[in-house]
Amino acid sequence: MTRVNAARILCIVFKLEIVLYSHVCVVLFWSLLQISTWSVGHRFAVSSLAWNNSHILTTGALDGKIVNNDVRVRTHIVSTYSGHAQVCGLKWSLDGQQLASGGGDNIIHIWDRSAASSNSRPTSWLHKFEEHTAPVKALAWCPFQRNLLASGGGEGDQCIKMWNTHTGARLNSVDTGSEVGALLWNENERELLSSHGFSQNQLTLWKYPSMLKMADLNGHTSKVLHMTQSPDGCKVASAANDGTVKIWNIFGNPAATAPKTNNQLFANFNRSSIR
Amino acid sequence: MILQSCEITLNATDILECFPLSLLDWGRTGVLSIALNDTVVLCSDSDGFYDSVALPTTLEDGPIHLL
Repeated sequence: MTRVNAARILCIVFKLEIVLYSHVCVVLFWSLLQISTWSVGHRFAVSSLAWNNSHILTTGALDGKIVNNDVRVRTHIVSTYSGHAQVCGLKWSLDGQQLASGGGDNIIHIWDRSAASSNSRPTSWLHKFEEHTAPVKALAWCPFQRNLLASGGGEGDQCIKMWNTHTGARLNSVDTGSEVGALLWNENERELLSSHGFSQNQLTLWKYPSMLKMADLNGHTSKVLHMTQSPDGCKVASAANDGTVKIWNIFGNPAATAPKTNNQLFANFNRSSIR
Repeated sequence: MILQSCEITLNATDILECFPLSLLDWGRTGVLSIALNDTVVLCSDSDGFYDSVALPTTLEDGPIHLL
């Protein structure tokens, strides 16, 4: 079990203008007006957060529990999923019906939203995928093909696998030759981007469904565990243990109608340079 | 054509090294958030260059009010 400092932020997710991040066993909600804390039903640190819709926030923790929380009410636990030794990744499908969770136990579970009723009994999984041979952090739902999930295995597994989450069938498996930290689909083209560890610490762009390698993007000098996509779908930010966040314009040129940044977020605080 | 070099590099020296964590997210409003140990940094490129602020850490108990 990974030991963590209580003052450290372990995960972060954006919802409109609210940043959410967790210390040990609590989730902090930050808005323009205030920060508030919530105790969530976990005995160990929350490591993953995922929004289901406007008011259901799913938390996954290092104790293996996954909890759906209704953020509008004080008695907020809606349902609980149990099945992992440690939660490393959480992603809701685009239609909000299925939750994919990746574990430190090398397992991927698919959970059905509709099975998560208003009682707090642990809900059983819809599918259990046990083909990865290392912890699974990288999960990405395909934006153009319903029920298609891509997953990536950590150090020692190195595979990207594709799953049909309706039938439970594995559709494809590619040995990338390196630990997979994160996966992102291109929302504009049939392409998948993966981030890697030793030895090249690169991002790799794959054509789907052939999984032909289109490009390697080099620059990081340590394993790349985090990636996120800009709201216009064109840019990707990657964070690595080399202490850098890099912005890549890999998925196309920003459209002229790209969403405008809300600078209100910055109006209330003194500006400082990033550390 | 695929641009194979990064557009910009931000310093994130304090980022934690731990596999299960999730420390980076890009919000719908265009603001990139990075968790650096005990600090959350928000970055925006609205002015043509990336600028950042660190979040305050005053805490209050209770549910949130969605904006």
